[in-house]
Amino acid sequence: MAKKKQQRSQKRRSERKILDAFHLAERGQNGSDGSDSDGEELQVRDGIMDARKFMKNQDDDEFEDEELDSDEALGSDDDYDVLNSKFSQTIRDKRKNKNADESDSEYDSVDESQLVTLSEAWDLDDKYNSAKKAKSLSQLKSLEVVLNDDWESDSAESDSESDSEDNKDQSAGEGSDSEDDSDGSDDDSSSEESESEDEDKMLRGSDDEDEIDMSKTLSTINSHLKKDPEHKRLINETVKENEYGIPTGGVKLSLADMLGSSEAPETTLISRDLADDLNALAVPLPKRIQERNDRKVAYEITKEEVSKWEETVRTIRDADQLQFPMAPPATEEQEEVDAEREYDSLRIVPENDTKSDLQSKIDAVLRAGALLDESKEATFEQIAAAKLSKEDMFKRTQELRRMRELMFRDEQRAKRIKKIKSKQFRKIRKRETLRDAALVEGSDAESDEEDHDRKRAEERMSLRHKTQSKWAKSVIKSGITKDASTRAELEEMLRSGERLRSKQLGYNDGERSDGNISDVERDYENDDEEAENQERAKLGKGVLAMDFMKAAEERKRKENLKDIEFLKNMRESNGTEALDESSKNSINQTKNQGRRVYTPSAKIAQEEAEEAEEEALHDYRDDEARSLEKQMRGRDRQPEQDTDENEQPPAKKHKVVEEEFAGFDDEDSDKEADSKKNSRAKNSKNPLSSHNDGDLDPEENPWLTGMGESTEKSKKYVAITEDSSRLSKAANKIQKVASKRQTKGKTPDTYIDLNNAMSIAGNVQHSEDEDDDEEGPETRMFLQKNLIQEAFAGDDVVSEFQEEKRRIAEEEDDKTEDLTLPGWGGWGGAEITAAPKKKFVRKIDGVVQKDKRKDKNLKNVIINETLGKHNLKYQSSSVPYPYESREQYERALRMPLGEEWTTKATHKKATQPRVVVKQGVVVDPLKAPFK
Amino acid sequence: MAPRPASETSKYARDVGKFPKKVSKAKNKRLQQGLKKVDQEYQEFVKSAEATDVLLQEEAGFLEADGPMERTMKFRQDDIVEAVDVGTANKKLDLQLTELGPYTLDFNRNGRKLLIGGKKGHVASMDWRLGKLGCELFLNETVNAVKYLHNDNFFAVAQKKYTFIYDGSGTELHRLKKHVELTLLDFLPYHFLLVSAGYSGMLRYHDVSTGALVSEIRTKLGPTQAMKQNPWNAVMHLGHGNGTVTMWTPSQKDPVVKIQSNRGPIRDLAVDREGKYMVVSGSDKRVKIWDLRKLQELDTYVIPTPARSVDISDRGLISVGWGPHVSVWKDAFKTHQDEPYMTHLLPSSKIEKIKYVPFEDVLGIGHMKGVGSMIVPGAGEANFDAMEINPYESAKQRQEQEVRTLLNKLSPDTIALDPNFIGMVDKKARNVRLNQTQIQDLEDEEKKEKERSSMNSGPSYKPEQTKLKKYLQKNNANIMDARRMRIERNLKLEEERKEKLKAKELEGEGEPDELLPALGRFA
Repeated sequence: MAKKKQQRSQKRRSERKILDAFHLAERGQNGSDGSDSDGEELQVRDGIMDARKFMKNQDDDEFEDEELDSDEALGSDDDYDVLNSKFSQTIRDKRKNKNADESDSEYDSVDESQLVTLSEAWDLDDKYNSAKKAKSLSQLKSLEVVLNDDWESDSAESDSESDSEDNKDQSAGEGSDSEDDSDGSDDDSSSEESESEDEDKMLRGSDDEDEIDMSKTLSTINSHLKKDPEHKRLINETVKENEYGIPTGGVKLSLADMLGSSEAPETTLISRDLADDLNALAVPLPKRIQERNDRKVAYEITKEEVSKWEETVRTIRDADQLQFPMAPPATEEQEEVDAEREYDSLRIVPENDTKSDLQSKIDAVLRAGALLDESKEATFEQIAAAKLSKEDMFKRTQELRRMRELMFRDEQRAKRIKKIKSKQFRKIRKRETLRDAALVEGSDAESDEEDHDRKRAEERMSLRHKTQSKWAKSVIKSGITKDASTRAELEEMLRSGERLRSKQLGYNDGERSDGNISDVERDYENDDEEAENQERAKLGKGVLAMDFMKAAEERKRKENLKDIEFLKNMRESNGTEALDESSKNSINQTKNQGRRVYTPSAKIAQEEAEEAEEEALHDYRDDEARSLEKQMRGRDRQPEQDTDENEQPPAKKHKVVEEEFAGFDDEDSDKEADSKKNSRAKNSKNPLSSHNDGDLDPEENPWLTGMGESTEKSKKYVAITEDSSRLSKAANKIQKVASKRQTKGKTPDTYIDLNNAMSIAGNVQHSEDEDDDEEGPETRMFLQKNLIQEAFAGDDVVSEFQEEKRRIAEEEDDKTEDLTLPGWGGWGGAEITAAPKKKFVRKIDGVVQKDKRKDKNLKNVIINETLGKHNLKYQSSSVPYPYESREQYERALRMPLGEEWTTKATHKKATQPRVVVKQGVVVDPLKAPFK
Repeated sequence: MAPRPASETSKYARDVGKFPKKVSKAKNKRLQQGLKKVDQEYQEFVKSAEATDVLLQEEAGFLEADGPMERTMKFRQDDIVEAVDVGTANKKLDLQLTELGPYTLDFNRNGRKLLIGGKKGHVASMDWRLGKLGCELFLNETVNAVKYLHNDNFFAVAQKKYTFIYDGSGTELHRLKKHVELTLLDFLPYHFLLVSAGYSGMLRYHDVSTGALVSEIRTKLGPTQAMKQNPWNAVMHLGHGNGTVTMWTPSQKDPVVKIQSNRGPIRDLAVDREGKYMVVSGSDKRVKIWDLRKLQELDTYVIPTPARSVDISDRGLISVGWGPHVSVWKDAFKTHQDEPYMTHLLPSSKIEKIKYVPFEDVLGIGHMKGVGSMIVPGAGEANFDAMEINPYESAKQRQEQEVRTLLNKLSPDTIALDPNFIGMVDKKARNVRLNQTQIQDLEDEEKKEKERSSMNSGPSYKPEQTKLKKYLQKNNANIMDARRMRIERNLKLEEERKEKLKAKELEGEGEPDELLPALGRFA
């Protein structure tokens, strides 16, 4: 039953194939000549046979069930598979059965060399058309070819595409015919006839219908086909399996082949020429030498091999920590890189086409097992992505990622903010959002048209901006100042009206300002905007969001703007008059109100303005004076300075001179300068000290600032150099000292030297050294001290202590023992002169030698030098192994490992295990990295 | 001069000046690499440890006078209490306990609990900041000293004869029979050793975790007058009647260091937290400051009356209690000070004991009429390590801390003057490592030397056995006959004679022998 089904399906398939082939051929034909009448009577159109006709003959109903369109995949794998494996077998079986009763012997005699391609078969058909026997054979052969074709088509498409396809299709049709109706062969034969004719026509070409030599065509085709040896490969497995029958793969071993190999160039064991030349062979090396040489060479080879590992082994040895299984170095790096670099690396699109060996292998296996269906895997996104370029794709993913990230963050933030319960925060936030909304209204009105329209409608409806409304009128009527809230509302109303009016006039706030502002100003404004934006960005964060802070900032900003304005003015007018002007302006502004101001604030403002003016003047002068030119002029042309006084205020001049002194003289003059500076500081504190006119301030102490200095200065300008005379040097010295004294005396009376004043010491907590005690004025203490000395006079602890120390030192010192025995080793007798007796002295090591004691130089201290046995057990008796000296070892011990003394990171690093093996993972042996 | 690297100047630096800056060249290349790496790691450690200073948020400040006219020593406690914040002001404590005599006191390690001991038998443990009484005991017996053990759940009281251990609720847990007639108690928290000294001149170390008496040392210096521990190396400093200060470890029977500090008896002493300085007050009215690293006297201050009690705060303020006064000295380790940083007067009273509260700017004062406290700005360590001592610990944390410290308990014999000795190479050992052959050579040489010296060092003969002894040895059957009796008698006589001879020789070593040695034996 199943078999039948299979047959049917196979038939259907072949029918389909035929159809497809026909379509293809037709298409190709249409390409050449578009006008083609497809009449029913024309079964053959320009060499293409319509196979549908045959099929219609057979079983139309079956055919019509099929969907023609769905069978586009001609070369789909499963067809071949089926043909290859099971179905082909069934065909063969059938054929066997059929041939068994028809022509057994013939069939058996057919060998592979006789098997030819379809075209040949058709040629043969032409020749032996009449012969019945041949027909069956050709049928058989064509069948074989079909099988062969199917079998091979997946590996290589033949070069003559249309031919082979047609062949195949037709043969398939034939095959199916032969299968289905074994008896009805006449129709087939006739059809075959026509087929073969068509075939010939086709081979000849559609341009001419003339008779062309058949043999020629055949030969050309043959030659053409022979070029492709694959077509010839045909495996016939009809032979029964036995131990002698080896599958030959379609190639027959001929005698010529066997002879051919013997015609190779002479292969004698020893070539004759060489043998003539050869003398006697050298004596082989002695075995041990030979072996030694072998060993040497082997060693070299091994060494080379091993040396490849050196680098690896070294790195492993030097590594702080080894982790098994070892991570590939690339990933290790990735782990270490920071986020920024990771981002960079993401931007470089990884190349997919470079697959590793393993990957490609796996792919191949999967594909072979039909497990990998790429078409199925392709999701929508991938398909869409395929249309994009790599860069676009990357950009898109980045964007998506960022959006996702932003959304996530925003969500988190919203959650967090939602949790905040502070009323203050809520208030601020509300205000902030309102302001934001207002901003948006201002800027994005055009962009958001709908919103804009709605707003407009609202405004028009509410008419809130006009004072014509009933409510507004009533409020105005009843007096605006009555209620704070209503007033605020009214104000808001008026403000909105104002805003609308400005909108009508057609400029935004930013545009309103004149286009004449300087770059600095513009920058400042930009900065401010940016700052504001930033601030808005970190909304609700910290104190900066508070109202008063903002107000302060606003104030500061205004001030800065004012400064900028002022500077601009300065630049324009290039001088001090600007200052006056500005100050005047400011005063004017206050006075412009048309009435006198008695408030203290106005006064203060005025004063402030004056002060500022002063300061500015100071700065200006300082700047001027500091310029090198001026200074030089000041030095070189002293008299000219006087003439310059109109230009420069005198106070300034003095200062310049002072500075020069400070730089020029040594420390006493430095002090002088200091004192002057003090006075100057005082001056600057006094708001009246500096004036525009060149006169000295009447309130200034002339002793401190004015005349003395100028005279002094002139004196000091007597240059004392190395080569000047001794006398002059001495004179200078004396002068210096004198001047120093003078200046000391001159120091202003207003100063109180506090350090000098506080010379009273507390007596109660009196603490002195012993010497101080003795010469101290306080007799009471003195007496007491004596008393104490007397009190402790009896026990002279110090001398006792010294005695003890001496005793201990003696005890712990090295000792000697005399072991001499009297008379031992000597001779007694009358004539014997007393030989010098040898002394037997044994040295006993003490604890420590006297002069090596630690407390040798410490008067009141005894240090115990005996070592406790208990302590020794915590010590190493010698320097431990890798270290060469005590210093090295103790230096290595210097770093504390404990968590208590180090940071966590340090502790972890210091205590990490040398080898870490991941649990449950097979650790492969180390692979050589040079592969 | 090039600036010294951070690893040298940092407070986290170890063994400053002990090693040369450059790593010494090792012969072995790998060892050299290793040494370099270790050195680098050390530098990194110093750097990272320094970086953690950022985490120490609290700042410490001192009283500062407005200009030179004002002196901080003139600030009164009332003024300070008015000026400081409420939290600090609340730390001012004043307990009027006039009846049960001069009070000694002790704070537990984190400074939360106060233990007071009145001479006439009043003992109380309390949370002094909350004013919560833990327990109160009226012992009807002299109380000489009180001391908290590792936490506030246990405290030891040295009473008239024995020393007792009570728990936090006042239950008597132990009577330490060995610790009799004590006047001084101390506790080494890392070794769990209760240290006691008193009239007997004995110094005892008692392990409170195991209950074993670790060490009992005779000081041989009479009644101990003062005793404090050096927190850095756990060496006990004892002050004695002859003005010496001795330093003891439990493993050595003799003091490791003995200092003649004062002329009169020592009244009290104190060692600073880092173990660098010691302050000793004696009956000769001197307060001396010693540098314990060099064992040199740094400074001497004279005080009108002998100081009864001295203490050094975490940040190096020295407080001296003398008579009714308490004076606090700042920067006294750096230079000689002309006047104290702060003073405090307890009218018509007498200071018995003063002790700084850990991590607080407060000085606890035990005096004749009770217990009080004094606010000393800048005294306490502002940054505490909660892993070590946590002033704000919960009960659970306290328990865990107890377990942890017990696990980390140090053995008593790790106490030494230089606590860094552990793991180092024995001082007597060679400075360089020798390989096997070198060691062998040295040993051989030593052996040879020994042989030579033994050959040289005079007669090494086997003393000839007398015939009589030989005979006795030979016939050592337990049969007493006349001959044997005679022999024994003769032997005895001979030995006697020998001894006499020896004595004579020793006696007459100085003056020349009139009879030459040959005849001397007949004399």
